Formats: sequence, C-alpha cells, structure tokens
Amino acid sequence: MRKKMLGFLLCLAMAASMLAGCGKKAEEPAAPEVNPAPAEEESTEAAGEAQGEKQKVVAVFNTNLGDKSFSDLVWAGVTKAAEDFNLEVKAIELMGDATKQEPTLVELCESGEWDVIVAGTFNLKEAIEKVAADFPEQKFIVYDTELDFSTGDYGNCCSVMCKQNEGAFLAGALAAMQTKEEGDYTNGENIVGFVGGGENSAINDFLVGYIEGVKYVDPECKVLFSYVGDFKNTAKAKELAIAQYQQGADIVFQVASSAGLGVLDAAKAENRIAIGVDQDQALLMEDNDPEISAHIMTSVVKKLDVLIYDKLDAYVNGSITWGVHENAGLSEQGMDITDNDYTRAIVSEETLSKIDEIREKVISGEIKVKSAITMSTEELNEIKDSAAK
Amino acid sequence: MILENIFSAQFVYSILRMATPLVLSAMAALITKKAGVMCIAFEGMMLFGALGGVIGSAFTRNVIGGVLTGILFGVAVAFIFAYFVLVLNANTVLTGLALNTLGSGGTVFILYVICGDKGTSTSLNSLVLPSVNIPLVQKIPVLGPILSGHNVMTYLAFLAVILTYLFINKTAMGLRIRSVGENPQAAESVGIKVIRTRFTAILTAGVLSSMGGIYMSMGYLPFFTRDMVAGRGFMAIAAQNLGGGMVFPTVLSALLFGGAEALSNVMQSLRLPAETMQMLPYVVTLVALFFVGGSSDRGRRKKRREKK
Repeated sequence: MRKKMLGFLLCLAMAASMLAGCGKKAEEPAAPEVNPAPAEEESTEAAGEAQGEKQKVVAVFNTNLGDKSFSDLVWAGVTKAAEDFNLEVKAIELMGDATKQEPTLVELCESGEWDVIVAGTFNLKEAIEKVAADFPEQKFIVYDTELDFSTGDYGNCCSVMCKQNEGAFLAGALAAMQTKEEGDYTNGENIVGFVGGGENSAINDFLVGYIEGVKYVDPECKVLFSYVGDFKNTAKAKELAIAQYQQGADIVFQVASSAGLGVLDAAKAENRIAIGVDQDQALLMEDNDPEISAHIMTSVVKKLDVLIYDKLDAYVNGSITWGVHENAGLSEQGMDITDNDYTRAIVSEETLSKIDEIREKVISGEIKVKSAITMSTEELNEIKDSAAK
Repeated sequence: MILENIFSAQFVYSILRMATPLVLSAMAALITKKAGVMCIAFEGMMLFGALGGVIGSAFTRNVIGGVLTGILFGVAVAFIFAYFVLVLNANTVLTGLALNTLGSGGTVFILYVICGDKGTSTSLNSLVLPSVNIPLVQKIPVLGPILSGHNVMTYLAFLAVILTYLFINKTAMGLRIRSVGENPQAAESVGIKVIRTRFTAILTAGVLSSMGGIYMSMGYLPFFTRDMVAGRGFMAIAAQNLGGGMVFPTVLSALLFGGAEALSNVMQSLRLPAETMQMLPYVVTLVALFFVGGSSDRGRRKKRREKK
C-alpha cells in the first residue's frame, strides 16, 4: 500500500513537471522520452512526404519558455513563421537538464517526423554538433552559437548568431555617458556595473562588448561585474546589483535571463538605472510595475525572432544555404538597443545622437568591437582586469 | 575598499534581508527535527508559499489575503508530506524529494494556467508586503539603519524565532513534540498521540516555511519567478543542523549563511574569481558542519561509552 502511494506521488510530481515542460502545440506525445523510436523506413517516408503536407518544425530549448528573454524570442519567430508559411511547430523545453540534450535530439532525428530542428545557444552546441554529424539528412537551424563549418561537416546545418558584443558596446557607451550626467538616478561617480548569469562565452561576449563600449567613451570609467552562477536565482541577482549600486555604480546592465529581473527590481529599490537584455524589458515590466520600467534606461535586444523567421522563410522558399554561418550585428540589424519613452525620460537628445554616431561607426567598421568568443582566455582576463581600472 | 564595504550598516542590513527566508525555514526544520521527522520538503513548501502569495494578493487585491493564500499553499504541501509519512509510512526522504520536484514543476504549471507564462508572474501585478521604519530606533546612529526599514516579514521572522523558542520549550505541545522526537515509544506509553503530535509539528513547520516563501515573492522581490527559492530550503536544513537543534544557535547559523552570501556578493564585483565567491556560502557550511558535527558526535559517542 505505502509503496503504491509513494509511486503514485512520484508519478504525480513527474507528470506535473512534464505538463509544465511540454510544448504549447503538443499534438505529439508531450515529452520527448515517450516518443517511440520508429524503424528506419519511416524516416525516409516522412522526408519524402514533406513536400505536399504541412512542413514540421520543432524548436528545442535548453532552458524553458517564459524567460521573457531569448527563448521566448526564438519561439515568437517560430510561431510567426508557422502562421505565415503554414508550418506545424512544437516546442521542447529541456529545463536546463544537460543529460536530456543529446537523447532528445537523437530521438527527434530518429523519429524522422521533423523537417527542421531549430536549436541553439552555447549550452546545446556540443550536442547539436554530435547529433548533426550522425544524422546528415536531418536539417538543423542553429542560433546563437557557431558551428565549425571549416571542416566541411554539417552540410545539413546553418547557424546564425547575434553579435551581442556590438549591442553591448552601444549599451556600454550609453552607460559611460549617462553616468556623468546629473539626474535623479545617477550619483556622479564614474562607475557602472554588469550582472551576468552563468559564466559562458555568450555572457562574456556581452561583458567584453560592454567594457569596450564604456572604455571607448571614457577609459577612466570603472566597470564592476559579477555573475549569479545560474539563471534562476532572482534574489541573488538582485543582491549582486544592490552590492554594485552601493559600491558606486549607478547603471547596471543585466544579462541573466529570468534571474535578471531581480536586477531590474534592484534599480527601483536603490533608485538607480538598469539596462535590460534580449527584449525591451521596460515594456515587459510595465504591467507589473511601471516604476520598475522607469528605471530601465534601455535594453540590448537580440532580434532572434526576426533572424529565425528569416531562416524559416528562406527554408520554405528553398533559398536557404546550408553549411554556412552568419553573424548578425548592428549592420545586419540582428542587434540593437531600444529607444522608448522610458529611455527619453532618462537620456537626453544630445546623448542619443552621440550614440547614433557610434552606431554608424560600428556599422561602417570604423570601430571594431572585440568578441569573447574568438579571444583566448588570457586576452579575456586582460580585458576583465582592465575593467576596474 | 573591501573593508569599507563590509563594515558598513548597509552590509549588516543586507545580511538580515538575506537571512530572513533562511531563518523562517530553519525554524520550520527545527520543529520537524524536534518531532523526530526528517523533512526535506522545504523547497517545495517555500515555492508553493511564494506562488500562493502572489496569486492570492493579485486576486484579492489585499496583502493579508496574499499571505493567507501563500500559507494555505505551503501548508497543503506540508499536509501531503505529513499524510504520506505518518499515515502511509512512506520514506521521508523520498517523499520530501518528490514534493520538492512537485514544487518546481507544479508551481510553473499553476503559473502557466493562471497567467499563461512559464517564467514569471510579472503580468499578475501582485502586491508586496510593506517595509517598516521603526519610529525611535531609526534615529539611533549605526544601529538604526541596520534594524529599521526592513520588510515586515523580516520582523515577523525574528518574532517567529522567539515564538518557536517558547513553543518548543514552554508549552505542553512543545514538550509533547520533544518527547515524541526523543522516544516515540515512551511517549506513546504515557498516552501521547504520536501521529497527531507529529502532524501538528509538520503543519506548524509548513506555516513557517511558506512564510519564508512568501517573503521571497512579496518582499524580497515583487514577483514570482520559477525556481526562485534556489536551494534556500536546503540551506535552512543545514542551518538547523549547524545549530544542533537549538533555536538560537540555529538563527546564528542562518545569519552566518546570510553573511557568507552577502560577503560573496560584495567580493565578486571586486575582481575576485566569480566561482570562488559563489562557493563561499557552501564552503562556510561545510567548514562549520565539520566543527559542529564533529563535536556533537563526539559528545554522543562519549555518552554512549559512559552508558556501557
């Protein structure tokens, strides 16, 4: 009796976490684990019938939807494409569980049901590379990381990445200018801050761009930075931001997915400025607390929705090129910083026009922003060390 | 610059802010420990408490309504735990683990059903508990800025400490809980209802722990985000162990953890390796357990030897 009940409870717990995890358009069995592994003939069959029927696209997320950040953005791009091009789509969320990455991708490939798998981020890179090599027939659209196409492998993939360093560069430049302005939210000290989630090359790419942007405007301006260690400890992100504000930073840029919302709240609590990420977070927070929005100077947005939509568009039209990587920066409009009423309330017209000049310089190539992705660890540490000087 | 930051009123203030959820859940852990129940379901209770607070305050438009809903949610988890462990004799650790998993997935599920969002409750526009400035105290130099201006739940947490102390040590119920925890057979032989007593203890713990959760989403932060408790339920259990099952040492341990956390937050932005600083609270836990665990164990062994 007691074993039965315990089993029942465990099932209940698992079911609840799966229900929460499964996709919105779950016409297929909800979780990847329960997909039956079909025979091989099936996969060729499915590939053949792809022409006439609805094309099927599955998006695999390393974390989860609802992060008000790039997972939601990618999904927005996928669903928009689904409407416009009559695709059948599904989302699979791995909930940050690294042990599920490869098995899920393998099962999706083996099932042969999906015409395209959309997957990405640095955390999924290795799993994608391995599985894509094993299933050369399966098409992958990879975002936010770069596959190594130089070896001639991965003819079934294409990858697209936002140059987050360029967006962060603009944010850094703006922060360095704004920290000297007199205003309700600034303290006159020449210090700005940065709070990252877990330390990985994408987060460091943001950091490097940010530091470069700050130093471009004013080499004397200090940059404090810390990492939460994960992307969910919202309260810790808030504490880190408060610690930076108390150490004299008046503008803190957060790149920490849902944990980063804590930084936005810290800006309100300490009456300082925050910079959001991935989506226009001032508009996102508006419903909950317009006072928080008022402290968000701008957001560095990744236009992943547009990029993914374009890729799917190209796929449907047959104009997509496989086996190549593409970087989308300011000039390709893959990145930018937002400019809304909340921005205008904090930043002066004059400063914004200076930012426009800098943007033009980055686009024209006059300013080359360094990237953490291509640099060595020593070089990265050097830049980090220069931040606080 | 480091010292300047650490010896500031703001720093001590932040320790109290960070320790609040730990203190509340550590009191909960202490009560279950006293009743002789190994409960690890505090993550689940806190998460449900946090979510309940947000939902309750959003729909009743009343802070008290939010707190009560939060407690109801948390106590519901505690009730499931108690029912499985006491009535169905399920394994306590497994039940606790299952409920923590349920807390993580279940709260996101409810969140999704209610506001169509799997990440945060920002669209609900929930209310927050007020902060309190203590009239005279806030004027005292140094002590004033440390003690005054906290969230009301922080004061409740320290009130809860005193109440827990009185409850355990001065009430008949507390005596019964202790005797049930020390020796259930002996307690039963003098007519104490073991299961009923443990039930009371677990539900009381549920109230305290969900208050810790409510603080997370209605005080510390003004919204619920998925998995926002992030291990605080387990740190509370560690604090209780470190305190050797005594109320005030447990509070000190919770404050120690809060302090380690605060220290790591301040140190990080001063160009010390991020990972080292993130380890700090856990290293402190381990080191402290090494000393405390070692000494209490030795004491027990010594006693056992004497008995022989």
